[in-house]
Amino acid sequence: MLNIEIDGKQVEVEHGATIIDAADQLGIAIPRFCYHKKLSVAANCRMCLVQVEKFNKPLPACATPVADGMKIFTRSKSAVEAQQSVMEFLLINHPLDCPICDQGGECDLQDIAMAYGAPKSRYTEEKRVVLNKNIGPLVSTDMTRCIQCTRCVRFLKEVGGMMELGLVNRGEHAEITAYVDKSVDSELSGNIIDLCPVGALTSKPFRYTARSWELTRRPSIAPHDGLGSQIEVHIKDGKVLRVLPREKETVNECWLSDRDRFSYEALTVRIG
Amino acid sequence: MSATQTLVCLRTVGQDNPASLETYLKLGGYAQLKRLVTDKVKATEVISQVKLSGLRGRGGAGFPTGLKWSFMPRYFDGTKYLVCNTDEGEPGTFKDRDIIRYNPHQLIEGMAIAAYTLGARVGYNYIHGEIWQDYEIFEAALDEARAAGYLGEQLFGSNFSFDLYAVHGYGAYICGEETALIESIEGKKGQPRFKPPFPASYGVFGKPTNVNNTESYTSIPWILQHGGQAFQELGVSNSGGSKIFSISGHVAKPGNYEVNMGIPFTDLLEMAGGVWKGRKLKAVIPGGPSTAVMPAAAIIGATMDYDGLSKAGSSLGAGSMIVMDETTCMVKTLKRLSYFFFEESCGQCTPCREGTGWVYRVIKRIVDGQGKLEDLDLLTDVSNNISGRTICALGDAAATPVLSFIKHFRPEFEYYIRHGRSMVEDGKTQPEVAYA
Repeated sequence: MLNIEIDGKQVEVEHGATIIDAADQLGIAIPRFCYHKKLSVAANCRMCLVQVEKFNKPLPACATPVADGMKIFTRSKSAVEAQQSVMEFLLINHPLDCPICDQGGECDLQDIAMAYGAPKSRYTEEKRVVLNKNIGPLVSTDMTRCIQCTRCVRFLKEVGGMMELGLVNRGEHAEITAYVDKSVDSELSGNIIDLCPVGALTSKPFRYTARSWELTRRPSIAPHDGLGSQIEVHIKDGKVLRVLPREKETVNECWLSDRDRFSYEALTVRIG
Repeated sequence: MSATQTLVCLRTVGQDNPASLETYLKLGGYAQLKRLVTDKVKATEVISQVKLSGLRGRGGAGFPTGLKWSFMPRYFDGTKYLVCNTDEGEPGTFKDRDIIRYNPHQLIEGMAIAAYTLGARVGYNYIHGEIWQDYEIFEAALDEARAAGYLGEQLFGSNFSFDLYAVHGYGAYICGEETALIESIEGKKGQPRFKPPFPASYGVFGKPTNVNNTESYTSIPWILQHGGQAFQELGVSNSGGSKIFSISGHVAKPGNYEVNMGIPFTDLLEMAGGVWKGRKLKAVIPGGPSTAVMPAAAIIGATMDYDGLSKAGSSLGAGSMIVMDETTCMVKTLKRLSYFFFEESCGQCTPCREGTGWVYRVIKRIVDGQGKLEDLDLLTDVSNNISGRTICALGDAAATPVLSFIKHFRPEFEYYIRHGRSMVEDGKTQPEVAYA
């Protein structure tokens, strides 16, 4: 076990733990987009930069393993400056179309921008526009909103087992796309909707039917996958509008199969 | 007396058929490799000679080569790899290209010696995709070396085996970053990895890998032939040996000049024929666009070595000197340089992906006559926000020209913004600033 200090609080963590693990253990919030506890570490969003004693540059909390006696400052001047500058960079090419975005109200970018973003943008140049991709009947794309965190790419590769999405092109032209003229066929594809920290990937069946804060949430058990995955049924005006997974480490972790995620449509839609 | 060249890495230049094995053998080539392998010289002895030589990484970072070699794990159960970084792609860099074109065998011998020292079984030379002809020259040299028994199984009847392959990139600047280069060798998209782990513990295919620049490897046979001390004495303290300077821009005789470290800037400029057309020197980028630009007054008294240039406010980088005369518009020059970094950013991490485009667009707006005076502070601030917050050094490299151009030529930028055209076009120069 290693003893470290974050923002003046002592904590004991296991060998190999990263700063973000230790901070989560202490309940200290470090902002993040690309990091997800179930996926490999990419360290590409740079939102989780923190100050570490004896290092002159801020380090990404998600990718920096802790060393014994390390002193970490997540709210120091240098850390906050780094986090605010990354937030500014993320927002310059983001369309900021929250009022018409399905993710509004449950968006990581929106939440973290409230805490770290500036009230006014210094960016006056043209914004980037990225063409939307048709990746199938379940996941709707709005790629201009994408912040290239690659959570969806990593999920499909590491959990889904097939690399169906990838980051193509370089620099500002980088975009997430499926293989040319191919859809995302994974039976777990709905999870990339939950993973997407912005409104780039949203649910096609649920799209434009409700705002997240209008929904009543009821816990339930998945009827189809034979695992007993824990789910949450979201209801508005007596109608089921969507189903999301509930976290249960021993059963479904934080994932849900597409048939359980989208089968609620059969409750209302009649064919023929 | 004007200074002369010291041919270490380019020693076959001037011979007939310089790239051939025959020429290299005539100059004593492959003798060091043979000596080490047949005499079973200990690895620690080789490393101590390299340490003594004061050789520092010639790719731009200037990390001591001997020290880097000692990071490779000595006992490792499995294949260790050796990688040569010939992916030079920054505007104004063209030294590695000439090494391969004129002296490929010395590079091969240098890599074989490194492989013997570090226990690497397989080596790759990653060659920039835009110098195809040189890639073919290197492939031909590899064939010659294999046929003559300098590469392959059980060299010189010992149990040392080393296979070397040429790999060509497709022209991405980012693949010159060692971990992006490793990803590219593995057949993946060239994107830098997060470090640590460093290549010495997790490199090509996840195995310990030593990555050095072409010029560093090519210096090795000379160091072992003449001894580390002799190499160190070519240069000055803390910057041993000779160095190839790729001089381009407004000089009468642009090209590669291999000279001793610590040569005064004025001697080097004279060697390249001085500023062309009898014009006045305005500014010099001493080590490639990722190093800070220096106004004439700051560089004129400097010596060309690691400490000399860092004292003068820049760095040696890869020794790619770009000379600019008094007719150069610094605003337009910066626009060109920032476009390069904008275009070559890999897009993986946020500050570089978004910041390089922002910086380029603001400078372009200034050049188009739509600039505002507060843009200069904005450029400085955005560049500072990119610098030090990215996965690899491209972010820092993109920020350096912006920060240094604005620092040294602010009046010229302000003039451009106020008048919508260049100070140079109006035949004016900014007031002289004194440099210590």
